[in-house]
Amino acid sequence: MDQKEIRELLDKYYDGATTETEELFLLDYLSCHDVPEEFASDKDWFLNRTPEVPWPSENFNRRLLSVTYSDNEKRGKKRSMTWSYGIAAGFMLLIAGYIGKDYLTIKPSYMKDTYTDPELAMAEVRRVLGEVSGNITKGSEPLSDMRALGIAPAAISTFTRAAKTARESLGKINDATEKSSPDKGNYATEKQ
Amino acid sequence: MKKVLIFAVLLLVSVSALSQKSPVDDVFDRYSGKDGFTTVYISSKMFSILSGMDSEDKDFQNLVSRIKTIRILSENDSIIKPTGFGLELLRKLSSAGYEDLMLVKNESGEVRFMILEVKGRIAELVMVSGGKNSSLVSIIGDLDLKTIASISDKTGIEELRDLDKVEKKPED
Repeated sequence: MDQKEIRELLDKYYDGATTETEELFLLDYLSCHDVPEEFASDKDWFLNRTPEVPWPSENFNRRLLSVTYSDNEKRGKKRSMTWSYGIAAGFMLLIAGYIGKDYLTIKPSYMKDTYTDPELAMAEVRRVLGEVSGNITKGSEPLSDMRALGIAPAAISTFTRAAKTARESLGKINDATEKSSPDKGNYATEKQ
Repeated sequence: MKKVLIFAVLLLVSVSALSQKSPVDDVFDRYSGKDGFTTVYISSKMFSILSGMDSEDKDFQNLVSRIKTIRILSENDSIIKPTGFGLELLRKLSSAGYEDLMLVKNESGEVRFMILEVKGRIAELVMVSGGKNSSLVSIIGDLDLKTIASISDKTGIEELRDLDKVEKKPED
């Protein structure tokens, strides 16, 4: 390759249009050959252009991992926070719906007070409750019969005791009558 | 996309949970205001006024203060084709968690009582009358059956007769 071609290639390089192969060729040419004076500045630039890349220090990998791990953790936390916010928003929606249902639902037309006068309303309440109560009382009448059956043994016992007392009293009266009546005693003697 | 889906599901669940109507509400919605039906509604606001009224009967006053609303729906005698909503309602009430309290048979038909218990307290008492024309009475509140039952002993017939003078508000 002559000097003209080298110049063209260098110009191409400075324009950033060279391929990797061409760049390697230029590097090889400028570093390994005695180049003409006109390429001296190019040679200097080419040989010093690549800064020395330092080797990774100790614990570099560990530090890198710790950075990337914390990033993942943060991302995970962020995701779980998003879920929490979503669930909280859902609950809030439910609560708001429950509280606001009275406002949201349109009341049917019948849900307006039939009576505007409290006296009339009270009279109607008395009538309704009286009717309901009457039916409940009627329905629970058989239960009162059952209760009466429960009371009956005690009542019979009292009655039996009273009858016994009365019988004893009558017996005493009869005895007293017989003793105080001489005719009856004579009649008994005559009969014998 | 996921967020939208979750939001939609939550919305659907909340709407369906809130739109659950009791069978009693359903019957009132369907028949109130229609020809041949009489509806009476006494609101909680009116009951708050009634509970503040002076009354000698303390038990009755106490009961009134514990009632929230009373709703009555009855089929008029003039109705040509009775709907028989009572039977339909009773079937629905059983499946909606209402419990049978008692059945009273009289000359005009059957009267069935059903209750809805919430946390061991009677929250609603429903009285459904059958016969030729159905009628429905729904009492909502914190109810005490013993007090309700005792009212009939105290309520005089004269008081009930006076109620004939009460004019009901015409249907809209």
